[in-house]
Amino acid sequence: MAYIPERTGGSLLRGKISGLNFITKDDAPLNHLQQVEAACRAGIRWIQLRMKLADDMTFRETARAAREICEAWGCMLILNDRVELAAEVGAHGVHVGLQDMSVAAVRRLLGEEIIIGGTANTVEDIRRHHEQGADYIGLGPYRFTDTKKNLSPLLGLQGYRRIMTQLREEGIEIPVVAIGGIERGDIKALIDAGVAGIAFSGLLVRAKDWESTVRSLGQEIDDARDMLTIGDKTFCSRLFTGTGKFGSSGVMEDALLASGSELVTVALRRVDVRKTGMTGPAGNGDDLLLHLRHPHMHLLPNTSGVRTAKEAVFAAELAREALETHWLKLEIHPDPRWLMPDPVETLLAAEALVKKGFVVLPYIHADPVLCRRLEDVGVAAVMPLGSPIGSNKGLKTQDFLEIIIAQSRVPVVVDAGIGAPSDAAKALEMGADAVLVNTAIAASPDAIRMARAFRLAVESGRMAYTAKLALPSVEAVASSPLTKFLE
Amino acid sequence: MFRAIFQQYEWAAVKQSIYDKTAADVERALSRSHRDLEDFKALISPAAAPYLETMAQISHQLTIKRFGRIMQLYIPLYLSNECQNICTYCGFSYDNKIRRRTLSAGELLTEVGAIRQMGYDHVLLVSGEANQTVGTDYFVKALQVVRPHFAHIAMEVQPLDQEDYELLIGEGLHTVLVYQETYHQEDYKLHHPKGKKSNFGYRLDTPDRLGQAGIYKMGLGVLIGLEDWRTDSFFTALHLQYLEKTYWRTKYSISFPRLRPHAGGLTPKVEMTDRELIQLICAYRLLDEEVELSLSTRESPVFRDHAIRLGITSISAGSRTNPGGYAVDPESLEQFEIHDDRSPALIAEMIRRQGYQPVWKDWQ
Ligand code: SF4
Repeated sequence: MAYIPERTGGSLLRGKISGLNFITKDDAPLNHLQQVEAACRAGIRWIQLRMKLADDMTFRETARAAREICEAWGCMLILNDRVELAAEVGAHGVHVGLQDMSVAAVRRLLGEEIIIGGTANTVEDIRRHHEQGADYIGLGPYRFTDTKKNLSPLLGLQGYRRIMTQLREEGIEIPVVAIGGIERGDIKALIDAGVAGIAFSGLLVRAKDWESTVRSLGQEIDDARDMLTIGDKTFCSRLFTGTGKFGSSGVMEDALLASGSELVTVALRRVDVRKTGMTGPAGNGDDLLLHLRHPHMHLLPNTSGVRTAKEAVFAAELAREALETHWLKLEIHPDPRWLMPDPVETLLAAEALVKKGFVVLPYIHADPVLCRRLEDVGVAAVMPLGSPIGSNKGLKTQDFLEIIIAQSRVPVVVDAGIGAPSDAAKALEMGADAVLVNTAIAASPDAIRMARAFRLAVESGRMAYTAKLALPSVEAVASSPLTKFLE
Repeated sequence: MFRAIFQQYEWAAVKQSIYDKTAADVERALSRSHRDLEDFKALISPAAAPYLETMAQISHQLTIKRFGRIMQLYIPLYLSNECQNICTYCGFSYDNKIRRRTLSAGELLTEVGAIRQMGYDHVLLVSGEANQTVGTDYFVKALQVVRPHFAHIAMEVQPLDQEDYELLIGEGLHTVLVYQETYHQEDYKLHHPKGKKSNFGYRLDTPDRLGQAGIYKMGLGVLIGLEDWRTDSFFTALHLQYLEKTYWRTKYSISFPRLRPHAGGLTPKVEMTDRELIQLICAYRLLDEEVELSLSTRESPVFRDHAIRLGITSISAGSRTNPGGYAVDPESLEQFEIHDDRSPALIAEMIRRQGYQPVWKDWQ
């Protein structure tokens, strides 16, 4: 797995860090390797190997074997301390405690390509780790446990809230994983406080049935994180973006990083398919794509420019080949002036592409019946327009969007026409699952700042939706003409 | 399939969550423009009782907005009272010693004539479950007899397979009513101890089969009184929303049969008051502006006279619930006792007096 952390963007692990982490435990019913195996099998994708009692020899052997198991399951393996063994074992990362080597020293030793996590108990700890280039923080302990022998002060929920607020105020963006004696009932409050994930040790080691425990914990965390699932992917960010109309690729990259977006649409016609994109060695790839090489960013090729279903299918297959993704934003607009999507060709193409195994996200009019027809043929989401593309006019189709949202069986992504962050917030408040914004960010004189504004607006709109908006109060009815007969 | 969704819910938890709803939940539900199932729970909860007049006002307005001042009239035509099932609440239950009769083609035509005479252009064909004598073959023949005389034909018979429905739709069937009776699986078993009907799952899947067969309209409901009506109504609404999303070309209607005395004599486990029935009718309308809500002659004249302004869109009139009841054999035993035995003409007059127009065929 090519995993290249990006330290300047700050939020690189945002979409990537697993919400549910497991830390192996000494003196448990299963030995460390058995724990790794059980965790992988149960669905955990982020494991920290923590063997405080073992000598280097034993640790090395165990870590090697653990690495193999993790490889097979696609799980990240992080070593607790033992920095010098990380490269040899081939671990994805190391985690250093407060008494261990500093993050800066580890970074010098192991280079840019390794994930480094640091234990923290205070804001100062986090600040220091962050400045030294840590990728994530393990913040704790939450409550008393027997895992940590030299205990720092217990944080409790109040401690987490205080520290997370402080980080936000200082603008420090780094994924924080809560750790230390966390029980099932703590999950929602911790996630609400702002942590990205939760590390379990004792709770899992004690579990009789790992699989069902992991499933229910994971479900609870995902619910609390309010993730969006489309097809085979899960997103933290509900802001989808595009690559068009930016002043330069550099600005584009910074703006997209600032937006926190995890799904970026790329016009196939803008990608030079002769130079293969993402997987080729650096320098050999397409210039545009080089700027999108961030682990949390998924590409969504679009068929912009095609005019018929037939052309769309052809373009989709090209995109799958060139960009190695079966995700596709289906756009068919034969009319070059307004770029209005053609509903008939779109439905035909969607049906054909779903059959070919594509995850299809069609761009369409805010037409409730068309949405249902598209759902019937198996699209992964629908992308109705808010107003004419590039017009920045906002949600002119609001009434129709409301119907679509109310009856849709797949996620609804409002696409096109969103001109201001308030439009995006409005869409999310209405219950749209996500928005796609391109022009409004790209064409802003300060695209990076605008990207951040959209990110905050989308988060705020979604938060308002889940918190349930207050509504105009009900007017009292004085007389009772309709129900008097019941008295 | 709805079954997969249904299995994610637990009766006791749903019931608890309905009874936990507060006045604030009700007010929130009332003030929204699109309501979801949580709002529906609030509106059918005890906490909504003080808001009944507000609910009625909104329901009245929404119904007029969508349907106009129109009241559809329908009438059941009982084809047969033969039944192989034991249902604890039904006069036709296999273990009841009654005279059994299945209409012949000639008898059916006589009944059709009597119903046409009353003015109806729309009929609901009803039977028990006797698959040997009153199965798909019989229904095909019955439709062939009835079809030339009515603009719209509905059916309330045993659940059938998808192919059977497809066949019957080809013969002119528009609408099928199939009530789950109760979504409480254990209680369902208690009330349907014997016969094909005791298969809860097959009945639960029926609306899916109907949807896949491409039926024009289907009707859902539970038999109120078997179990906690609020919880059962939640599951009905859950079913309705699933169906509306999945088989979106189909129209839907809901009925509210309340248990009434009959030859078998089951007293309702849970009593529902008139106030509560109005609350339920209004809650459905507030949840769903398009769904048709229908009321049978099980209810009293005074109740029906008022209910037609509160969300109901179709009512029956002049009903007989025995095969041959209109002309062939008026004296035979009825399935349930009629509470409102006014003639269709009188009912139509009552409807007109309230400023509504009676319509004798299904609104198309
Ligand atoms: S309710 Fe229907 S199935 Fe049950 S006994 Fe009566 S007629 Fe037969």
